[in-house]
Amino acid sequence: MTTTDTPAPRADAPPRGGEIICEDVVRIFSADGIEVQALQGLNLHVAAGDLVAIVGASGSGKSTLLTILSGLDTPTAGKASVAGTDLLTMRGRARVNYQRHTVGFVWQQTSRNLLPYLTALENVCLPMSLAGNASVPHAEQLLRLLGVEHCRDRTPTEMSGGEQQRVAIAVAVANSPQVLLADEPTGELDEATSVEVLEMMRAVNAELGVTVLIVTHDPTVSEHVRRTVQIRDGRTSTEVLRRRETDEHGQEQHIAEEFAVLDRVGRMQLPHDFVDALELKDRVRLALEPDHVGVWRDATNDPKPAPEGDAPPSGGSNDQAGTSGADGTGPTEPPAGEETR
Amino acid sequence: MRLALLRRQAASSPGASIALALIVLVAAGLFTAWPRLQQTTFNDEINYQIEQTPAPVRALTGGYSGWFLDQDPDAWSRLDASLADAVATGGPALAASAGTPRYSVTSDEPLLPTLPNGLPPDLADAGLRLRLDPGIAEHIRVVEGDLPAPSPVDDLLDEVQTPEGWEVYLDGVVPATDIILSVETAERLGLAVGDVLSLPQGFSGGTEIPLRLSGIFEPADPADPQWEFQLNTVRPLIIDDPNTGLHLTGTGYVNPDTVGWLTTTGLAVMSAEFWIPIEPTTTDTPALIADLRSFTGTPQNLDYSSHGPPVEIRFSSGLTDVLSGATARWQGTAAVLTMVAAGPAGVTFAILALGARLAVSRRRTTLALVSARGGSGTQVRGMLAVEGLVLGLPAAALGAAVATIAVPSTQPTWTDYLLPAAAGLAPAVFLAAAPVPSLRASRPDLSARSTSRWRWVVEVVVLALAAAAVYLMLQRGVGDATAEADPVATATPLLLALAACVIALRLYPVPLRMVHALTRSRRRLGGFLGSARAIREGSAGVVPMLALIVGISIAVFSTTMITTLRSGTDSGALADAGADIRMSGPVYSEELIAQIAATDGVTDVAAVTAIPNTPLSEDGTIRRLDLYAVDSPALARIQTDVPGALDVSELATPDGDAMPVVVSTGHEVDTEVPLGLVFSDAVPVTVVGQAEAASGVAEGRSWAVVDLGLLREATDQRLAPRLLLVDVADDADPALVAETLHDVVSGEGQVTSPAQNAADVFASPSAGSMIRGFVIALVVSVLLSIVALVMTLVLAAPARGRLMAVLRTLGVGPGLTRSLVAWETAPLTVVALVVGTALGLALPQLVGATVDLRPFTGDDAQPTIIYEPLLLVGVIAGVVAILAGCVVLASGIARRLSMSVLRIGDAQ
Repeated sequence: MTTTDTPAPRADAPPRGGEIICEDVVRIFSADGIEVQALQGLNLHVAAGDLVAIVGASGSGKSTLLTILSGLDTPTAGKASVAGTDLLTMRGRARVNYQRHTVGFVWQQTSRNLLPYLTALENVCLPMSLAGNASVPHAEQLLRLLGVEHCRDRTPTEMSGGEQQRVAIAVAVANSPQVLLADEPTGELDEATSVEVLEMMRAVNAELGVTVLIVTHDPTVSEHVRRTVQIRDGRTSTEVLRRRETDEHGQEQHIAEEFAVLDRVGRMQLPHDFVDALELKDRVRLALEPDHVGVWRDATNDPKPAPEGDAPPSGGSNDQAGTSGADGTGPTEPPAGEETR
Repeated sequence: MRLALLRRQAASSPGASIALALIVLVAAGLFTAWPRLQQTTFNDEINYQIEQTPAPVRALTGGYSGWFLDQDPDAWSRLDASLADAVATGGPALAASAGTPRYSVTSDEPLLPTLPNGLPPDLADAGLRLRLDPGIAEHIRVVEGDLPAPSPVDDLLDEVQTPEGWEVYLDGVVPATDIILSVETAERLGLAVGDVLSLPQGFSGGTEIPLRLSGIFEPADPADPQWEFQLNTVRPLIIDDPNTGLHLTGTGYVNPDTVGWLTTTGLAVMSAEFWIPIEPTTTDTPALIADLRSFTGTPQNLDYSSHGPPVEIRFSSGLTDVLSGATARWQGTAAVLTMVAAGPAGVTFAILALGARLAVSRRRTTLALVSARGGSGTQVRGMLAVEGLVLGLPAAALGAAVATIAVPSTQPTWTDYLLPAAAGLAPAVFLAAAPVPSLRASRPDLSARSTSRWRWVVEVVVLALAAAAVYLMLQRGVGDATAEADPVATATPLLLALAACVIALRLYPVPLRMVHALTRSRRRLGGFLGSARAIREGSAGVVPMLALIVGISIAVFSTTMITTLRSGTDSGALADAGADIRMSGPVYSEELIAQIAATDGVTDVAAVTAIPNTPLSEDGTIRRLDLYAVDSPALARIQTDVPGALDVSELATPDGDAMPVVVSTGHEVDTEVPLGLVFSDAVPVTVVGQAEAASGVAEGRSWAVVDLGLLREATDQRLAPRLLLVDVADDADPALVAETLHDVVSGEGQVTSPAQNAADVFASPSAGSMIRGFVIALVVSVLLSIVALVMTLVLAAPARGRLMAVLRTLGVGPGLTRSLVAWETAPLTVVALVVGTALGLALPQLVGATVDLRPFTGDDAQPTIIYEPLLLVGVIAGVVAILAGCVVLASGIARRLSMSVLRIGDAQ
């Protein structure tokens, strides 16, 4: 079993990407007695040079997370750092430097990415000139990398949506940022163009080594990335890792494995469909097995007595979830609920 | 690259930028022109007042009593030089306004000559005064004969150096000395050119001194002020003494070098008078007043004699009082004008702020993106500031330059350019200070309350400031005596407008909610949606509301001030004149009075006889006062509507023997003791009243008024009146009647009507400039209101466009936009109309309570504020009509703007 793509950065070239670390990030919007907790202790770790997608429903907090990561907003509490820059203490000058050199981003609406009255080349030069190091050859090189060198002297209105987003990616990476953030980059594009743009992001990730974080509600996006993190109610809930494997017949197979995210203190969210399927409610019973953890529905109030099969562990420990692995990185078996019955 | 970006950005939404530049251009022009216009008008006003003042009053005049002649042939040129020097050292303002100094030397007492053809039979006697005036030749035209030659006696004197030798000549025949008389004087004396008349010898009597009439003259220009200084020269002075007859005194010029003859003959004491005319050309009034004060405050040393010390002459001028009065009057005007101008000036800056907001909102996305891509605050604001400077400074410079060229100023100061400079910098400041838009999604649901808290704070501060300013103004009035504007007085109307705006914005939703409740039950969507938007979106902007309130309040304020001042001036003029027509000057005989009373349009005539310096005895103590004997029943009828009229109802009914009298409060009398007016016999009087003023009758502080008929009875004297107060029928034109009366009295004396005086007051530059200032302020504020409304419509266009896009997808027709646009402006205008009218009605009361308008109206009392409802309604209707027209026009444009945004969910 050979793994063609690994989550880790390539070993031959030192990664240019930056590491994203979020630990228990909390963002509370409050005014006059109203408090909205958009992020409720979010944990996310993206390794340098990785390509990660974040999916979540509307209101799950993914936009808030991206706003924080792009330096437009500050978390209320927790720990958040991108490429070594602490986002909680970042102020004034440091913020400007962060936005100039550490992050680049692509928004969903093309009109938000490009200035309508500048040509593609000028748009790419803009962030460089803001940072004080405009270089036309570098801009041209980026346009070429993204395959839009023919749009060099066109204004956004003269480009297709896909071209616009590709130019937008060029703009975002113009100052050679360590992290590229993208907010629904394919939101306004058709499927084919979406694929093109996502492949471009992969290419940028591969060529430039920049860490890429894509926020989307489009489930197809996750097919183009190695790692997909799902956000629910302001927390990361599950992750899907993809890899390509060549089986014994020499055929390449896409393998996707779903994981639940475990935080530092061992909290974990069970996927909704699991919970619904077993009618889990209020509390569950857990049992530590040699290589996995079992989760059972709390049947003490059920009309039927205790289920047959594996004896459930003695009650009392059901207010705490646990996993079998000593660390969170080990392969986790599908949640134990699957094994019941 | 950065420059290119800047250029592209500026070019991307040129509308707001052009609007900003235009506003700055116009504002800078007006700000530059205003103080210059004020300065120019002030100078015009002062010069107008100087011009209106009779030449002898405004000139610097001085005199020297006593012998003022010197035999030195250079004496006159030395005097000329000395006078010129005195004027030159009197200060630059004085030197600039002073005309050529003039002087003459005249005999104190008239000499009684023996006339060759005998004394004309109608004259009781004829006197002659001799005058030396080296400069007279320029002012007269010799009709016949020649100018007087130097006296031959002077040549003889050179030959005969000793008194003894002189005696010989005196005993013999003395050669005649030339004299020139005016045509009228010569005619009245029965003299012809070449006639010789003789004067009695001054020293040891006996021999007479012969004078030969060398010529007769007419004034070169009858209107020459020269003849106002030298009265009784063109025409002889004739005094009519009822007992003895006519006494004539003529004045003749001898050659100015005839000093030796006058010295030797000792004919009369020769005294000098000097006058320095002041021309209405001043450009610096305070300096002129200061120069005049210092010139009149110290005696001037005039050098004319080669051997004596210089003589000290004290000059005086009535001009300082006139100028002080004019300055005070101008200050009233300036204070009112500044208060009027402050509103539009404040609104201008508010509109520049709105324009900057508009410009920033038009490039919201760009700025947010640039800022998110790593543009630091300094970079983004700096970019905006540079753009603001590029827009503002050239526009301001151009505006100021045009105004500087168009309105010439004699005293340009750099402070005049502070406000235009502020206008030029304003776009940069407002653009740079505008909140930089962020890409971060805003949460209006979470931020609404905190801004409303700040709104309270700001509102309370504005209200407190307005209240404090009004309190301060009422407490201490408007600063006086300085040409500088009082900052509190200037700011108060603007603060009041702001306070009114705050209140209006708070009250605004109340009637709207009622309208909304009404529209809810109707079928039409426009009213319901429009009122709902107006209430819930809070679209009523501060700036358009302020602009509208200021505009409407200025319209109401100006109209009221003009009516008030006009009526105040009318009543002031009427109080001055005392009646519809005032005739004064010659003695009016009973027949003439009857003739006047019979003239068409005249309903009543009251005669007034003035007897100055009449002794009033209080228990034996005598004090003098001016006595006015009036035809009291007629006066009571004539002065029914004259302000400050004297109550004369009790004057005609005698109290026993005693004659009723009204005494001025300026002359306190003890009414307990026996009082009497002392003529040839004492006339007992009883005080029936005391009064501060008797309009049109009495002047000065010490006076008394009695009935003319009673006084005639008591004194048995004719007491001919020299003043008539004439009442004109309501349907007759006083000016026409005055003209007729002028003919009735064959042009003698003065016939004036207050309507004419009032017209004169409004003809003055300060009154004219006040009206012009009102008009300019009104036009500017209406323009500003329009700009504010249009900008608001444009600012609201994207939101309206999105709303329309949603509605169109729901199947609503495009016509709804019109209704939405109307709902964005109409409620605002209606509320501003109500609040602005209230403010405009209140402001004149504040002005009346704080600004001294008396110098303006010429009345003794502050004019009462007069509201003329019809005129006010007319003016407001006009303003509203113009606003409505422009809003309809702007709505058309705004509709287009809304149509252009049809994509839902596009960038906000």
